[in-house]
Amino acid sequence: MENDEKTGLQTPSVNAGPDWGSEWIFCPVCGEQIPAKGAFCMHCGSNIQEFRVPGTDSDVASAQPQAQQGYPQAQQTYPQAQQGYGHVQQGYNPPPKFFNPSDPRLKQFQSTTLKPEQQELVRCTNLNKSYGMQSAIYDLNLAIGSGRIIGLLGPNGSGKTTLIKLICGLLTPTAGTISVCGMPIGPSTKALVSYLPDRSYIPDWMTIRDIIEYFSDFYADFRAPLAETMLANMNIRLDARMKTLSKGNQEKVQLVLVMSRNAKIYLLDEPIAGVDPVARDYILDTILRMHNPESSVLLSTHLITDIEPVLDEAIMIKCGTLVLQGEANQLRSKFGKSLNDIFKEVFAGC
Amino acid sequence: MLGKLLKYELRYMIRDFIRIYLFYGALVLFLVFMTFLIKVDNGSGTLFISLYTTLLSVYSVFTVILAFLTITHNIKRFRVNMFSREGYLTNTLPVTPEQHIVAKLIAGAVNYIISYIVILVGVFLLFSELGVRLSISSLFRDVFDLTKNGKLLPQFLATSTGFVALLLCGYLSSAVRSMIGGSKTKGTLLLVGMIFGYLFISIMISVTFESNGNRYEARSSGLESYIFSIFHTCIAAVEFYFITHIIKNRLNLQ
Repeated sequence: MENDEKTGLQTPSVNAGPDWGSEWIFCPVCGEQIPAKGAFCMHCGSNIQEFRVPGTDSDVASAQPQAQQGYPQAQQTYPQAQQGYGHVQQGYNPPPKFFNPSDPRLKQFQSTTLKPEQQELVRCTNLNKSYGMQSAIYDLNLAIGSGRIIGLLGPNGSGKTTLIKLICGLLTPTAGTISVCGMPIGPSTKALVSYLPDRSYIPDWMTIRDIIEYFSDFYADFRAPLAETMLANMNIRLDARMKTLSKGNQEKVQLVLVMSRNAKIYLLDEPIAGVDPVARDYILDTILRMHNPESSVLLSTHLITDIEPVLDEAIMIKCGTLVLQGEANQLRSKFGKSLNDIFKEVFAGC
Repeated sequence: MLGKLLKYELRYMIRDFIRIYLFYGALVLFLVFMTFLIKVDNGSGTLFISLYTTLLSVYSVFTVILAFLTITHNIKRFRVNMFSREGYLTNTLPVTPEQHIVAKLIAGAVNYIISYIVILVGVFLLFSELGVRLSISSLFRDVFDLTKNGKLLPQFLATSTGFVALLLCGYLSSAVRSMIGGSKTKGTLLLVGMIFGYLFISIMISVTFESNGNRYEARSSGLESYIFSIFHTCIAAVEFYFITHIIKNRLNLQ
């Protein structure tokens, strides 16, 4: 540790590693690197609020750089920053460590146990999927029960779309097993799964009436009157061709068609990406109103803030591996922050 | 499910080809009318004759294109429906890949038969007006002779199995092209390579018969046609297997 001549503060030495700056502090219990603004240590679960001096701004760590730089306001207001945490003064110098999904202390958030009242809809056992030498899904063990709206959260390239495609049968696993309602993936499971991809997939030349007839022919659970009513409410003519609709309307049409099925599980890949906020609210409202309460909706998205109010459960995956799975309320109460903030902490540095 | 798939395949085919057939019919009728005018007015002007000759050439080229278009359209339909963004809809239907392939094969065969009939009718109308004697009864007589000599069945088998093998060849090249990343050049080269391979083996079979000196007997008994039928069937079976394998295990949508 070095003493700053101007402020008298002790700062990490120049050889301490990367500049952790004001974003990170060290847990007083386990010494692991954790975000400064967190209430709990994500490694040992300790409540670091207990180690903060009462009556001060809880965001003490963010004051550290200002204090180090000699801001007089910081020095006056945050005497704790001047004094420094004892552990920092002792010169902790662990290597930078981001959220480690294999940490045994995370087991409490990696539960694949369903509640007794839930029917098992999807079960992934040691699931692996590779594209050549690149692994997209690695040793994934996951269970999805009925009656939930589940957010599948993860950064780009984490394997969300790959997992969804595996469930709906567009991809086959490299290793491991995946089942839907206890059955291996095939035509019988495709009849139970309603899938909305992240792109337009209805032929441009088809009219809305054609595609409703198409869905009615192939899916026994498709509710054509419901779809027609929803589309009429959106002022979309049934004789309009898909290519004449705007992108937003095309996505709405696709969503209505998918949600008009009485499926067991709905897989929605980025349903609210690329649409305006009003349409976004409409889409989320449609999902809430139209889905079968006994089924589950699996939503893959980056826009966590928008969908967080509707989520019952969250699954976070990183590099094809399950990091967190749990009820949204439990995660929020455990970590003391929103799912969006938990997401940022989990995937910081990705 | 196969019936429903077939329904949409035929609907798509009719949607695309009805305009082509109408244009073809209009062209034939126009040529028939011009032929009639030429016969009535022996002193037709040079410009009129030039226009007539040009249209006759266009008709001939269009007839050939129509025959090829039937096959290429079916192969393109397979590629777009199974491996482009439409594949997100098609491959998530509660239908097996085998049913998809069979539905498209049947639609392709129906399309080819309809195109063949349209071309025959057009040729008959035009040639009749031109004064060329085309006797329908002689056509049936030829078919009767083939049946009487037992040659109709082997030739029909050879032709139909060859047609199926050709379509499946196109499907397989589309599937492989999708699997390796959608390169149009590679897909085309693969298709051309497969067709040349097929032609090479066919020539080898024919040469085998000829070199053994029994080509005439083999032809008259239909044995050569039966051999080709078996060859086409084996090729089609291998192609079918690989196509379903790629769709089930190596699907790579855009």
